Amino acid sequence: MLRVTCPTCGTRPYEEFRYGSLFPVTPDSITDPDARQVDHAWMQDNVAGPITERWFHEAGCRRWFTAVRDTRTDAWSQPD
Amino acid sequence: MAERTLTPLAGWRIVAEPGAIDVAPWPDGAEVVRISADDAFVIGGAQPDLADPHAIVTPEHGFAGVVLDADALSRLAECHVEWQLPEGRPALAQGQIAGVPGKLVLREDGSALLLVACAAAHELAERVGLT
Repeated sequence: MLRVTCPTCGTRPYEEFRYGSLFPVTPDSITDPDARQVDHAWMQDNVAGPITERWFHEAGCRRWFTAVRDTRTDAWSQPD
Repeated sequence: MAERTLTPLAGWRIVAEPGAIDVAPWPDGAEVVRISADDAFVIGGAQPDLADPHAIVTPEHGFAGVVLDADALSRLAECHVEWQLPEGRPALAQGQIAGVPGKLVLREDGSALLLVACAAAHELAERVGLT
């Protein structure tokens, strides 16, 4: 079972949460504003490794938070 | 737990700067449930007065609660809670209880106040055997 660590409530089963999205990071190399918006909205990296995500603890504190999850192991860590 | 009943609670819901909630002078007899850093539910007492000028303080009638003794809490945790309760007391534990979002206000004397949204109280009562 995937378990998610909420910074307010602690570790809980995945079912208590709502997945928000990948935390969008647009590369600095893209400078055109329209191109940045396209990248922000549509370009997903599909990384095998640590990714930054937004989660909502729906059954607990009802707060959004940002967390880092390793997609290979589902190990969680706090963002920098 | 058949003799226990979830009862609607009256209190105050506060959304404010975390620092203002930290140092707020709570009314006598009130029990403060710190839902998150910037969110608190104050059960009972007069309207709290906070130092934050932008604080939202509003009457809250959306929760029902029941006090569980240590044995009842232990049974509830064993049968209906899939996550680890905090070791320290007092503490607040939030998460699904029998699949229903709920809160456990864990008191120093070993008892706990089980809180659930009124809209889900009937469902939780049915699932855990409350009346």
